Amino acid sequence: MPDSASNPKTSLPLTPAAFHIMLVLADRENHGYAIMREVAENTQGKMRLGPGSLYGTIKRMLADGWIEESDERPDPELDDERRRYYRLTGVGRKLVQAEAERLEQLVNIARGKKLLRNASSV
Amino acid sequence: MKSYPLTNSFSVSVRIYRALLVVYPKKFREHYETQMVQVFRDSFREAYHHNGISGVIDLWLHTFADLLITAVIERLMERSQYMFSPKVTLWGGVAGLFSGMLWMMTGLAPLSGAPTMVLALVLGLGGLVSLYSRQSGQGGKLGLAGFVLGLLGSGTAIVFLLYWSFTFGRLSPSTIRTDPELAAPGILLLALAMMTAGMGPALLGIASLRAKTLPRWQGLPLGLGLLNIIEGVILWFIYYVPMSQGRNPFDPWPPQGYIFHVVVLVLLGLGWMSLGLKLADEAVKVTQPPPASA
Repeated sequence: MPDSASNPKTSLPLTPAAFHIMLVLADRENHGYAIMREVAENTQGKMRLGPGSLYGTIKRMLADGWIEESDERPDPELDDERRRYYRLTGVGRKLVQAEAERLEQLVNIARGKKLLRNASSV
Repeated sequence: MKSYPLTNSFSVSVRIYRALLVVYPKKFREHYETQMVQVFRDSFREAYHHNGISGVIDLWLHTFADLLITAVIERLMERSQYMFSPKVTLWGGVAGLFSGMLWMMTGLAPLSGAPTMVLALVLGLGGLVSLYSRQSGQGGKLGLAGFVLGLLGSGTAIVFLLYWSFTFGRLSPSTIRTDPELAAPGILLLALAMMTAGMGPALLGIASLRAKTLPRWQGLPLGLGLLNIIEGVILWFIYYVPMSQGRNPFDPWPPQGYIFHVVVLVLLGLGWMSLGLKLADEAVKVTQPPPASA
């Protein structure tokens, strides 16, 4: 079993692609193309995952037990049944939380040093 | 919004993309080809709808770069999976076991000379590969650094010993006795190569301790690496230092501190034998099918 199962912090920092995919899956399960679109939207187009980087990252996240395939279809009537849906596992959720906390700490440090343009007092 | 692109360019693009997927490893294609083509198809539609031909060109440029980079990554990862197979661990462990026997022989029968040492180093490479394979990539960058240094050090020592054998004859007390100053730089290189080679198992050992990848005997690789480094230091002090001063380290025989050299070589041999045996034994257990339940 991957070490991240017992201690998520050993897998930090996450790769940007993995973190963004997990952020998309944090509130609902989704399929590849929708994940790709949402990542692009969330980053204002700065991160564009191609099919290779998307499924390469998904493959490794599945192997590490961070995400899993879901058999459920949000709307089977409208959906192409060839699509595969993915969702976060418990380990994956802990991991994305730990990564978000890690980034929050860094942002706080940057804020303390007045490095953020729109820094507001905390 | 443009009209729906049910044109030749759509179907040709999808066909070309599907054909290009051949650059990925077969297993990866089997799992993800349908999904990747589906994503490309959806992306094509969206790109055309929003930006027409320029959107399609942009999509192709981005997709092509993505394909080239990720195909290389997937192929490298596939190769590393072979590297981490129990068979590699098993046969590398067996090589390490024999390497240990030869190191002991080098210590107890010093006249066996360079051929025994070369063989011990070559088989030791197998042991190093087995140890790295056993870590299954969990040793991280430190493990990889150890593996590369181990290969580099052992490889340098092997090339040097072979070069020496072919150029000056056997690396033996008689060769060193004839012209200690000529032999000195060679011994220095060998000492440095042995120290570098020792960094391999040492760093792999530290990586194992950090990642807790090995069971109870996890301190063994670190100890082995340190012994290898000590062997390099001994070569330096017992042989290189007097030789660089024009003195013959074999006169009088045995040289001062020689007993330490023998002890280190014997311990090195015992260490490799134990590590090789453990690695091979574990790999056999992994490859054996589980007993049928009653």
